[in-house]
Amino acid sequence: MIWTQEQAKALIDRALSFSKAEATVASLNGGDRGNLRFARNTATTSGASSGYNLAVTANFGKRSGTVTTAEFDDASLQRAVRNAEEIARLSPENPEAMPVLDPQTYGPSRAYFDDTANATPEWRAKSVAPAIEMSKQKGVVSAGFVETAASIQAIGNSKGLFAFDRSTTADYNLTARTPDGSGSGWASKSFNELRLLDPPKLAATAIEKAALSAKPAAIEPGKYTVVLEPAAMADLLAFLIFSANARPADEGRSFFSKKGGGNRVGEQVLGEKVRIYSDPAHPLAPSVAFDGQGLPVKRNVWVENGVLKDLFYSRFWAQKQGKEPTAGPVNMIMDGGGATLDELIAGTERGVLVTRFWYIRPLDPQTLLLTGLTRDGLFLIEKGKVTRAVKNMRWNESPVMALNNIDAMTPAERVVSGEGIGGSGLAIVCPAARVREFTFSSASDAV
Amino acid sequence: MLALGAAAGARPATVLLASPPADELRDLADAALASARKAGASYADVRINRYRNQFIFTRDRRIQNIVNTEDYGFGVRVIVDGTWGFASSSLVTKDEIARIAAQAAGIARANRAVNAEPVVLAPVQAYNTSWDTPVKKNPFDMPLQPKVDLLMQINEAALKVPGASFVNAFMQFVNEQKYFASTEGSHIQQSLIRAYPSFSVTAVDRTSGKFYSRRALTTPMGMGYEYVESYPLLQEATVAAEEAVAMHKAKPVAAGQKTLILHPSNLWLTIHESVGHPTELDRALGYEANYAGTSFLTTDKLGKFEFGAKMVNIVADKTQDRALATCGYDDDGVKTTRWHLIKDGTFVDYQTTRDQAHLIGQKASHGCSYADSWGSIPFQRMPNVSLEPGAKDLSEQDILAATDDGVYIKGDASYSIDHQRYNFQFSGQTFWEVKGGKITTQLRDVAYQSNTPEFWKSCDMLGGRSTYELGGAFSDGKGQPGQSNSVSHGCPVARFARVNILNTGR
Repeated sequence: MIWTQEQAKALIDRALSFSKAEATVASLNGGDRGNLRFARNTATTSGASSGYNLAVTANFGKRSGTVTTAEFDDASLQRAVRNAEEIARLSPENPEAMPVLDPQTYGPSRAYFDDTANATPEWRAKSVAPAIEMSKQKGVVSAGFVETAASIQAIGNSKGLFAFDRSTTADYNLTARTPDGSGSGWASKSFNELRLLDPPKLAATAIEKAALSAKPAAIEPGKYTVVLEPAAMADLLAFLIFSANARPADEGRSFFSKKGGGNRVGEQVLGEKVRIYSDPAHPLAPSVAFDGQGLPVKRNVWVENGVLKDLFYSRFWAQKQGKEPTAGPVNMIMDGGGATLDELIAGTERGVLVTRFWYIRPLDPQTLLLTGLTRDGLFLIEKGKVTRAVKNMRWNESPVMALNNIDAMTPAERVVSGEGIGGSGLAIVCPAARVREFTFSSASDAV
Repeated sequence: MLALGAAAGARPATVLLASPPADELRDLADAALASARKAGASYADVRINRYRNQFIFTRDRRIQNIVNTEDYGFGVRVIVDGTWGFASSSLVTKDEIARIAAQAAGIARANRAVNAEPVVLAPVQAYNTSWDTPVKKNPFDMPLQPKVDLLMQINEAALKVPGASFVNAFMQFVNEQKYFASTEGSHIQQSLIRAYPSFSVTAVDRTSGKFYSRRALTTPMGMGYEYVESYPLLQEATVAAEEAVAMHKAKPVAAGQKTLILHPSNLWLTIHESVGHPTELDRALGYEANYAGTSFLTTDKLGKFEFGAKMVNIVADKTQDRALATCGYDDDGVKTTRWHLIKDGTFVDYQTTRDQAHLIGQKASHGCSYADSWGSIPFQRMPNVSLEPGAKDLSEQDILAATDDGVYIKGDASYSIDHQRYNFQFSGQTFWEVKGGKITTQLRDVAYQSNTPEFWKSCDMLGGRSTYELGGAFSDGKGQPGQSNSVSHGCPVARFARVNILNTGR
């Protein structure tokens, strides 16, 4: 059982009571998690972990120090608090230090579900059995992972602020490979609620894709129309939004900087069909009520009709620029369209269908140029039909270009990206999309 | 130097808590092993670990944050009826240890139904011993003041350069205090220390709307504070700022096939990605197929595959002086060692653990087991993997002088490689045009892209021992749930023929 609000508050109050600093913040994170891995069609390693860690920040004016501890007896807590105070006293003043928050008002708890919190090792073992069984039947070799986690976060400070919330996450993903090593398929989902996970369906998807992707042919790198499945789309969205920070934009060192000074809020930066926002109450991506600083998480619209509406503001930068500080974000939602995946394919004269991306890294922050590869199923589309599996390719492209070149989308769904973004921490909801002129730069022999 | 809030040399009077004495840890560990045996384990090990970190962040002549973190807990790993089980907790008491050992056994039993490959462990000797990183100055015993002073001086040196707009500078220190015991009879206590000072300078041109950054060529090291003191950080801050500013007027590289010269501050990462990862046995066997990927170095290639040019010799070494993955014993309790992965250009061995060595017919583990936390399951992680220097002691100058038309790259930046480790693309921190045996001008917008065996076969010059340096990272990710590993890669300056150079500017 994870800690209750009463247990968390008692620990935070005890830590705060030991402090002699002018202002003190204590935050507690932890919980229980259990997982099972499988590979080569058999269980491999599995485990459970129960752990909590308390961070104490002591402030004297604009000096501060932070210490974390996992030991909560009085002597250990006092040692941590004293150490934070001593660091604060020795630290130079930080002119950007912000006062500790006054008590805040928070939304309801939405992210915790008993079915995930109560998942047992037996449930996890049973959830992988169909994948192993189906893989053996279909003659493929599967590897995968299931994890269930229940967490708490709590924060309190010497001004009387206290916040507590709980969340749960259930993750299931697997990769199926043909025995000759020429085909590979993948599927991944993450939900707060265990009942929404469908392990047999995910297994069937990955296994089917492994067979379809076998014996791929090489095609020439170059510009292609791409149909990006939601997992591929999610990575482009995430890498775009990770750069949407107001301070570097205002400082002239971001794609979102305006030439000559200021930032690009109000400018048309993406295609007109694009709306991106965060919403803690979104039914597919319910989130905790506050962020690590104790700020209440709110709905924020980042892009509307392709126009940049807002950027992320830290508390200091918000105060300096006369803006509201941004909490989180805890999720990222991109609206979709009304097409089906089959319709996206049917509307493609010549292009490729992308299951997921892999190993995405920034190449040039000025244009948000990224590099990455395709993985676990790349297919040629000719005259509106998937005609054959093709070999993976490296791409060098900017999400800004891609999100300007969208011409059709499916409805949005809860997604885990190929890079694994979309589970606990930052839930993602986005569609599959057809994107024109996506740049593949070199061929890869990897399957 | 900016005014500070305390006299030079002041230090926190309260030092961070060290782990309990060895006999107390031994009692706790023995209790865990006894509980595991009682619960039906045929094998068990326990790790009672404390992790300490210190972070000091500064930017633009200001302190941002000073954080001391400490995490403490234990994990019990068992084999019951041929199946692994693991459980862990941050509450280190005898009652909790008994509960967690039973939980680990229960998890193993639950998984027995879906396990078709009973665990087989390679034999290991029992050790009752200890091992510490041989540091000259323990950074956790050092006062804050000189660390903060030095970071402020780095800020000042960088921002003094005309055109330098922003600087971020930080130091991170790591201490892993590990107590391992197993039913094989081992009790091993280790304390590992690592240090990393770094910074980044950005030059913004508001008129053109362009900006360029240059990161320090420092690297994380398996050393104490002596690394911070021995590295010419202030000189490097000035050079980095000058090179960031100069990037605005640097020549955009002309794309095409060129001779490529790589400094160790760049090549270490290429070795990590293109040699370190594909020689991991768990990847080759499919254990990582769902996350990190598999490997083009399949087991049928062992001892035969022509990986690179004859001059290419690459060793795995968990005993290498000052390197990040160096320790006395791995998290299976195996004494660490050194062995060849690539010998005279041929692929000859993998990185292994006790539970996987038998799968390629080996009788002993190479000692590559590691878990990044008391709460994480040990599995195969990369040892230090390093390229041996050339037979002749060629200098950087010798290699440049022998190059008619090439590109020289220092520092690591954008890096990406496919999931079987064929196609890679890397960038760098600074790029230089080499013409007629000399560096002629600074370049920008450079990346190189190749295929692993083609690249290593194109290696045609290796610097000597005098050009050999270590590079490394604190955060090599692998596994599910994801774990982080610290690893170093040593190498000389090296040259490669006809490599595909890209221009990344748009």
